[in-house]
Amino acid sequence: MSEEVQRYGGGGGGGMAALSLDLLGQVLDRVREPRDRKACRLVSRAFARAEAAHRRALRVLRREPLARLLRAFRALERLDLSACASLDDASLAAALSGADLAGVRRVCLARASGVGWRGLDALVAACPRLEAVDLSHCVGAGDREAAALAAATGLRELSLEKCLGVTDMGLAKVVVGCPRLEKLSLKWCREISDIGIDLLSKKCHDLRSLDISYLKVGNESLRSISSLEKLEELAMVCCSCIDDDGLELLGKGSNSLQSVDVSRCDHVTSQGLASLIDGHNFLQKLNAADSLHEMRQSFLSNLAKLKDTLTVLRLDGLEVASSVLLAIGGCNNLVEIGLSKCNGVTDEGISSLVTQCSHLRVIDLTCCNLLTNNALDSIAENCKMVERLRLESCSSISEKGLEQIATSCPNLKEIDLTDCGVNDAALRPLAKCSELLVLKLGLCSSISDKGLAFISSSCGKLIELDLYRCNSITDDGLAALANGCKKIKMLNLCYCNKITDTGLGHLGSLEELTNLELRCLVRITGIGISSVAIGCKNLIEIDLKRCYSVDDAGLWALARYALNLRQLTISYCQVTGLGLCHLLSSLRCLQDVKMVHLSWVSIEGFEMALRAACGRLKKLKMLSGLKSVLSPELLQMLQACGCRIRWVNKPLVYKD
Amino acid sequence: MVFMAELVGPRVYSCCNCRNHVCLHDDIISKAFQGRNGRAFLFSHAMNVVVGAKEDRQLMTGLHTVADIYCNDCRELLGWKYERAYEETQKYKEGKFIFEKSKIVKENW
Repeated sequence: MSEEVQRYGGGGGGGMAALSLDLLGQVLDRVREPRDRKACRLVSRAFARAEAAHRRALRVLRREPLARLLRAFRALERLDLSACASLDDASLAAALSGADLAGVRRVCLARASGVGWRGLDALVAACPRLEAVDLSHCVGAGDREAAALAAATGLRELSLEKCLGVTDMGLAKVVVGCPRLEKLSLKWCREISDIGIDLLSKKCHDLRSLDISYLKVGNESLRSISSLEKLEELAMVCCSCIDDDGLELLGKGSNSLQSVDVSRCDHVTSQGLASLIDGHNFLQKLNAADSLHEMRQSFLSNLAKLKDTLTVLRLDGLEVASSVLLAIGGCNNLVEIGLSKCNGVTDEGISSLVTQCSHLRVIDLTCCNLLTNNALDSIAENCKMVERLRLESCSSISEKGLEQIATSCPNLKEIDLTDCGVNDAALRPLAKCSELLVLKLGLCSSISDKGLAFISSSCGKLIELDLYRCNSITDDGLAALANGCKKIKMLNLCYCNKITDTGLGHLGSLEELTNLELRCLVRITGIGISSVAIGCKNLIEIDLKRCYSVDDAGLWALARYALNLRQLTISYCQVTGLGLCHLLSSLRCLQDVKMVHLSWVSIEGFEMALRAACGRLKKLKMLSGLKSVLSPELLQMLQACGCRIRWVNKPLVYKD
Repeated sequence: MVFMAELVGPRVYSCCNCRNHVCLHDDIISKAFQGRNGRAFLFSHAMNVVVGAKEDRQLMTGLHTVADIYCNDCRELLGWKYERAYEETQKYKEGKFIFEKSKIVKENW
């Protein structure tokens, strides 16, 4: 017995036994892919121990093993608990108490709505070197939670995005307790006022990045913020109380601004932006999407001052004349340009822009419906490095223009052709783009299996494919995809109603598939769902809305095989209470369920199913009629566990 | 991407020109319509719009009586309202509103 242990204890035959644990650990450190690291852990006990001793990042999916995991991995620096189902204060505190977490620097608790100030107290106490905490979307979090985090004096990064309960009081505690803050997000914390921002500006002098998007703060906040000398990044999306006067204050301030986002600020004009640029000649990123109505010359002249530094410019929703695009082209170092929904963008305008900006990598021309293949020719000729091209609703383009792009731009990674009316002929040239990762063809109903065959032949790196309403696609097209695009993670086949269980059978060989949308595929049944659930072991989201032939058999398959599932939509499916109950009690990672109009599920069925998964559910969408018939205890329990319910009033209508 | 944005009230769309609230995301019936200039959505309700004169129009799906809708603040043309449909399969559109994707912006989400 002991002989065997000695022989295999060193990790196998040959020289492996000669490697010390530390050396082995360093070798394993260089293994990057999570799947490969998992494989290494399974080799032998020595490999497992070495990997555990060197592991720096951990992502926990369920709360039951949390305590054991925290004790097993002693070198942890980054801890991600955002997907940890059923995590609450008691379990978090208990798991932290036995562990040595002196090295933990970054903790992510995004959407961990079951965690409150008690859990955060325990976290701060257990991790003395805590530098970054992400508490975003913990909608119930408030001042008490902020106070708990204020005890982490070394905190440098904090996200309180969507922590709706945080007010000036909580913010005050944080800024006093964590004076070394460098990055702070208060996005959506609408209780915060100018007073809170003022205190923040007085206390946190090291602040580099600040997000006050959606807050009701006004120009006085910008006056305070303008004193933060190290501030490089400022986001003020949809701050409707801010106007040109505020931007002028910023323009005169002592910040080191590199990136400013004023998208959707309806009281900001190009005049205000001009005065902002005046004071900050080193701006690199400027996002003014959906905020400006017209373009003054003062802004364009000041834009010329940024010609060396500006890399990102977004002007979505603006009326642009060709002269404006010519002026923007003066910023020769532009890497990203956003002109989505801009009226008046013509081929000439684009040409005058791209001939000056050959470094462009991201070009957003969504809804620029005047553009033709000539614009694509200009882009192909001048911007050889282009990686992301958004052409949604540019209905005048065709395969000729795409041929030019595909030939001249070998780095193309993402292209959006939604609603462009392209056909299979357009996909032939795109097959040349072997680096293609994202392809969107929504609403292109002429795309057929033939087009998919082109893509499958050489776009082997494809990760995301959107075939929304490409209703000529059949099972054969999916067979080709499964053969040629093995790395697909996200696939949208909504309304491709020719697809049957056979097609889903092909999808079962896509091992990397994580998100699958199958809305209104009326021919698929539990058989097809089984194939997908068995084969696609990494499936985390599946949308089966209006798959009228999917019944309990489909839910049984998901319950049995789709163990990683986190998000599910089964609205309008033919399921009963039994299937629903089994599903919700089996899938331990399932957190988000949309189940509107499950006409065959009784009230008892809903009660039992929801009670079975109560501690795990975070988001539910149900018919509002159920609000009055489900027991109040159940609804209270759901809320207490951090679950939010969206009640909707939709008429029962069958579509095809 | 994986999770929807958390809500602070219903998700509202605004007029692209003046940010007047004109429709709600929950009222979307279909995202697969064609407007004058590109993609459009069918909504069950609209608010703060002025409905223009009725006229007969030959659309891709057949003959309809429609009335253009304008933002009641700035009079920007946003789409149209279906007043009558003449084929049985198209009747479900009656009383509903088309908003062009390029004319509406997300307001608070």
